[in-house]
Amino acid sequence: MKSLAGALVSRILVPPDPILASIWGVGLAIRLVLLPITLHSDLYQIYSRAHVAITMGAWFAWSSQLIAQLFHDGWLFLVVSLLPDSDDIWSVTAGVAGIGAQPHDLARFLAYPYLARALVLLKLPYVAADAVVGWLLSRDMPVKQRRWALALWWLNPIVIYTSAVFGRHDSVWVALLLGGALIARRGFRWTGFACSALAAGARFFPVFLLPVYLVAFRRSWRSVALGGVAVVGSWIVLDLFVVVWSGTSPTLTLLGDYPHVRYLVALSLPVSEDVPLPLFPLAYTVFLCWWFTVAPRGWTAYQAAAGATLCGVVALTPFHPQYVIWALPFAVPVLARQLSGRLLALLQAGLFLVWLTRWGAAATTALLSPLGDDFVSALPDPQLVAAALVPASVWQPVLRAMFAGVTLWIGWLVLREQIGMMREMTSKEMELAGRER
Amino acid sequence: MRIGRWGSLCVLCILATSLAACRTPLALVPSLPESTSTVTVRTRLEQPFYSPADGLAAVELRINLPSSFGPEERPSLGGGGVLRVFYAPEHDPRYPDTDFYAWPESQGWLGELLPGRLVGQVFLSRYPYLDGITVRVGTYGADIGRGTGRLRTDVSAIVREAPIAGRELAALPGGGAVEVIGSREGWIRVRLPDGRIGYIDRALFAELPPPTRENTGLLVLRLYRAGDGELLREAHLDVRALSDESHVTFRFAPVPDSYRVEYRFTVEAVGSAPGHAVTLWGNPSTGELVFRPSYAPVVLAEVSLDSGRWSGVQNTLEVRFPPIRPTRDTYLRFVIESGERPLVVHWSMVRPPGNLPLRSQDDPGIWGGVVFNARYLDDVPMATVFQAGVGRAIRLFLNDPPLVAVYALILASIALLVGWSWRSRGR
Repeated sequence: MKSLAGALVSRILVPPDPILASIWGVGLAIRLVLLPITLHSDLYQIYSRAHVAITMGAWFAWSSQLIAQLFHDGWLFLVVSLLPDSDDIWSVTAGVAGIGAQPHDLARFLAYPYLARALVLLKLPYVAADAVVGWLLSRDMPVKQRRWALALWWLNPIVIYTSAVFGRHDSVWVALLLGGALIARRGFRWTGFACSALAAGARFFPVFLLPVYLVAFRRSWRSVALGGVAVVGSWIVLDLFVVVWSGTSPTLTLLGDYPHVRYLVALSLPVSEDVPLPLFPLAYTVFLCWWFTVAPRGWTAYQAAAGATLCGVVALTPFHPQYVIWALPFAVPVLARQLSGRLLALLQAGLFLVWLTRWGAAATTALLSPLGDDFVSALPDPQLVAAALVPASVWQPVLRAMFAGVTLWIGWLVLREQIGMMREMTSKEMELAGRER
Repeated sequence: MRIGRWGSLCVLCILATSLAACRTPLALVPSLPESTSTVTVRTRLEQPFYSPADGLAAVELRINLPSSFGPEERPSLGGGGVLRVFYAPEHDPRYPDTDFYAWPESQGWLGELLPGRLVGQVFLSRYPYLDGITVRVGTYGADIGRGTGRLRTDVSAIVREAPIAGRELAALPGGGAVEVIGSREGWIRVRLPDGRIGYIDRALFAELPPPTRENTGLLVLRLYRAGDGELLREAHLDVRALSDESHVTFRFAPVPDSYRVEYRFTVEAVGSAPGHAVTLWGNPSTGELVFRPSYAPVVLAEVSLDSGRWSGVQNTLEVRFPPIRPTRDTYLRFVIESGERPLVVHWSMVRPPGNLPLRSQDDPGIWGGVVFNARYLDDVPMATVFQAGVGRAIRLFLNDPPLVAVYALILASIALLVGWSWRSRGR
């Protein structure tokens, strides 16, 4: 009995790899410092809507990004009891499209005596999601690569900025998407697909991965068709249901009102005077055609296609800084394997940090608003500093082009590895076929 | 060892000094606005704007350069033109007298200023060289009464909706009789036969109704520093020289160091009597005056456009000058005066910060702003700012002891785990 207990203790109390432990520790410490001193109004808005939902029972009042909103409703429901006297810190107009939270609402929130606790609790799910993704990425890898994979995610300024500084929920859906793919890798294809579809319902980035998923994790082409029909059919049913219920079509609302749809076609080549050729839809369609033609299977194939697609979305659309995180999850394991990949990841993060200045104080210094208006106003606006040094018409396009170039190259690196593997497999198959003859 | 210690000390001192006052270049706007059109400056063009930072050091204008110069012309970038920078407190909307022409019903006359009554006001001066306080006075018709006035025969009279620059309501033939009902800003308020009320320049009248009363005495303004109550300036106005419903400025010798200093001023009447006293415009319910400080015009920078630097990327001419201080949180204006050839300056429907339109002597109809950017060399006290940020962050935490405890627990666990992993390395 004693020896069994000793064996158990020694098994549980295995000292972790010191470098991995340090990476985890440093990343967590950085986040802990940043969580309570930074705030973007998006975080306040989404939780204000959640407060309206849980106090008035209007769980489905906010139709835009319903899944993401429901997630926040649920989380606030769980933690609101830890925020004493917080009933009047929220905005009642945050759920009114076109109006949103007003500056005096935000000022009330910033004056809340337990502001630090509130910010930590509100951003906690994002940090937890960061950690889950870090853990998922660093599993099943050799120790050295695991360290790099973890560092490239958990210590990446892009990830820290998105979750801990900006307070954006994208990493939750990144975790769900990645988790879905890893579940599929274990053989639970439809569960994994459900996770990916849920992530796609919350944010639009994973939508582009659904066809890729169906092909990569197919049992047969019939299952691909079945999945496609299920997705399209579900959407049509949902659309019709909402049309009958509210008289408006979500599809038409998305296409007509949702700015991200416009972003997808923003970068285009002029075919004629009034006909543009949008680059992202073009590249994505070509990619899908190729993917369906070669139709590789398995986790590695999916990872490559997902990494390349998400890098393409970020590079070829006018992204906001908090969305760059989507370019990382499927690329990191590949980048961690080679020195050039690590350097590219560092370059991408560096360019991202400089590119942040393009968004001015709103995405940089003003995020420190919990430290006081006087503190924020004393900090120079990075966008104005940059404009004083180099004309915006020069540095902004150049930097954007460099960022897009690096991100596209990362996407290509990820895809190239898969293409290399496919070629290798093809040559092996040919070799085997030759021997059989 | 000794040298090393001294060396370290020097490095620390340099770091501390550079952090204590970090000189940061800043632009007024992130990028130049799109040009809408151009305005030709033959005489003078001015553009007021709000200046958010200190140390204005350059102005960058988008202008058209001539593609070739005639044999008599001197090839130059700015055609001998000059750019001057001034404070523009007259455009600052943060004083109670925000609109020269507005006499809102929420405000009113404070009643006769009689000996022993002191009207006081505290204000923050946002500019240096404070040289006066402008208030609105009422004389109860001491300069002109009600009745019938007669216009001069040699000119026709324009009736305006408001004095000086109001919209034209009507034109009256010379020599006619007009119903006079008062005056404002030295202009005569008249009622037209159709019932409309307008204003006619006093100089266009041959006869005016006599005043309804005579005011006596002096108005005395005293300016004190709000902090220590020290009397700084005193100014007098003879009430007999005042016009009814008009702005009047108490002038005194400029106070050079009046930037961001709080002052208090008092106005009292000396030698007045009931029925022979003037009044001031303000808010009767609170007793606050409607006023505006005035400042001595000071040329902050004067630079020849020919000395500018042309940017082929932006198509702009940038003129530099020694950094002007203070300029933070002030309204400034730059004035361009053309030299030997007209200047073609771009303007945009997007106005600069402050949202004030350009003023062109040659083309007064433009409501947009000059396409320009300004550059600053601002001193950012990084050490103070950093210290304030850390202090505030600590206060945020100290407000919440349970959070501090949780943080301490987590950070200690991290430290223990990392320490343990390093100590057990290689086992």
